[in-house]
Amino acid sequence: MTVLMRASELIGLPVVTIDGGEDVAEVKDVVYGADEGRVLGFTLNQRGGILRGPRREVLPMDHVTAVGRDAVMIEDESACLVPPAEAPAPVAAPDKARNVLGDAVVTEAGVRLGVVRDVIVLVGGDGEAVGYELDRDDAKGSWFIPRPVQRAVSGDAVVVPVDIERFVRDDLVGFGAAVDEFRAAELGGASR
Amino acid sequence: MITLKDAIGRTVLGRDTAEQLGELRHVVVDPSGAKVVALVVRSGRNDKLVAWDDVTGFGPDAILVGATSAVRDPGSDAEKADAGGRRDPLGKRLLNDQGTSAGLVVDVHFDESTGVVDSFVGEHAIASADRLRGIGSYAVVVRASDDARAATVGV
Repeated sequence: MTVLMRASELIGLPVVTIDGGEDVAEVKDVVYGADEGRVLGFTLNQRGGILRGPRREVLPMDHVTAVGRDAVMIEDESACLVPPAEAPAPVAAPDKARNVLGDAVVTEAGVRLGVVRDVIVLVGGDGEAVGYELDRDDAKGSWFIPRPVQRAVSGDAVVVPVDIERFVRDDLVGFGAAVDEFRAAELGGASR
Repeated sequence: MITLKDAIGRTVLGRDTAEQLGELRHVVVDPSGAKVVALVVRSGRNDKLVAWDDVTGFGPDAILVGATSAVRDPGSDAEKADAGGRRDPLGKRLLNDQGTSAGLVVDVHFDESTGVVDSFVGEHAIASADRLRGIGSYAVVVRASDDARAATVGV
């Protein structure tokens, strides 16, 4: 199963209780951990939209049953939505300096490919990030590149292997397969 | 098997008095047993509740209630919410526990003698009621089918 979504598309999704069928909140922002390579949690708005204003509680990823195409599913409102003081620090107070959005993507040969525009996550799972969407430097449009597990990410740049271009796609369709191939190559040492 | 879509608006009669008590407005489905446990009857501007056990006949033209007195005003907050349709599946999002929706619930099939729900008909897929996990004001939540888990097709 490889259905992929942009992290930005998670914004505005309802947070729904599985046994209650209630929408208890809405995703305000996605907290992405660049080092962990996954979504760490969500900040929230009141249900019923942005006009209702933010909710104080946050939703750590550990408390999420599934991130889906149409909703973020949780077991229980009071147990899953927690005050910032009880949440893991990166979720309660996201480190803006570690935000991967806007990072330059640079190959190990020192060639800059573009700038990270979005993070691509696996739908239905635990928020694992499998790639980045980037605005290309050399042309209009965007590229989807697999997220290198074994390469450095800072608040400034994402370093990717030289041979990443073999796995670059220009739309999300087929990108899942490219991620699988990339990972096989990365784990097999083929991408050094 | 009853299709709820067609039953909404059906006349509700008291068997004892033959009096017209109102029209079917909502059903109340208990998710734990996937069963209709009550009906919401609209009389004028009032939405009243009648327990499924007091329904003696659910026919194509009328719904019969054993005693006129069995149709009553909602009491607790939970009953008021039920009278407002909180646990009526119709019109809610059909959502699986993986967060994938099959659109809105456009119909519910249930057994007219027992009230046991057979299936929820969504705009894009049908979900068997034995997968039901919860019903609330936002969604009917079902356990994801094996198909949905494997390929995120349907719910």
